[in-house]
Amino acid sequence: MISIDRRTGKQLFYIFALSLLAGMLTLLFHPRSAEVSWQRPDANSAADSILAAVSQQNITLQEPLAINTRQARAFQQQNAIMVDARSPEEFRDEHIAGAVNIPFERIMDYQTSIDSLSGDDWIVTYCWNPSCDLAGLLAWEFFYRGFAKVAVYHPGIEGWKAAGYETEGGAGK
Amino acid sequence: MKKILLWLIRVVLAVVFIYSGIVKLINPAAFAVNIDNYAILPWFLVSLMSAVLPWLEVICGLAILSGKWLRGAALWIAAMNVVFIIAIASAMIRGLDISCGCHTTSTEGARVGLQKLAEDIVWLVSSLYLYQSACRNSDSS
Repeated sequence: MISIDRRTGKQLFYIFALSLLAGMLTLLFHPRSAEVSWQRPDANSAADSILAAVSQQNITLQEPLAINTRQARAFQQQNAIMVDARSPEEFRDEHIAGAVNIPFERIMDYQTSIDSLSGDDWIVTYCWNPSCDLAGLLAWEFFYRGFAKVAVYHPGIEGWKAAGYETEGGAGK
Repeated sequence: MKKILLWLIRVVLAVVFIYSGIVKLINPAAFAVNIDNYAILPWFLVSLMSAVLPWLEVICGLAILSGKWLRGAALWIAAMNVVFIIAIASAMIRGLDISCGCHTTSTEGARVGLQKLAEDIVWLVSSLYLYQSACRNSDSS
């Protein structure tokens, strides 16, 4: 059984208070801190207005833009580069029509593919579904490599197929 | 022998937690994505946790290494690992294919699974052992 005396209690409090203070300063001043809001950024309907602002007024994004299926479809139709973050095998089986494959877990092997992408085009990363985080991580990777127009499509290929949009590959239709 | 073991536990725990804290502090937003993928907390708490948890890890690591606030730090590490274990187990039960977000915000070799679960159990047991030993030393001195 764990017993906590007064001295240990004080230590627990000091450590937490110090971490909380440092954490608040991080949220305020760290350039890569997460956005604090009640709503998830990807559930934010402001995505459309940000999208329009970025396209029209040359505004710089602070982080990859999370988009929904309708927006992802619009991006695809406007010739954005759809990037599949899954493995080559999964990509071969089925992927969003016109997508290229840059598996996040083997990104070092895909340097040439990344170099061939144009920084002027929108890049939209996707994975299986919102439970698969490869798309978000790949989007950040692009962002850090200097790509300014990066979007992440969290619903992934499953959300894409559920909306009835076309896919390609062995199992695609 | 016991002293060497305790010293080893302190160094290993400190290195692991300072390292994982710093990695997360480099990119708190990516760490927030890691936490959010567990689909346990509302976004507001996710964003707070993405900034506070890395500091908690770093401060606990430094405290354990220096010996200052040793018992408090050991208990915090134990508490964090209990939370990590519950989160990983719940992700496994729900069949989530996500990165652990434990010691990196990348995904290479860091998916949730039995390996990560076992790793966190080791840290939990080690930190509790450290706490008990620190209490005993303090009682006898």
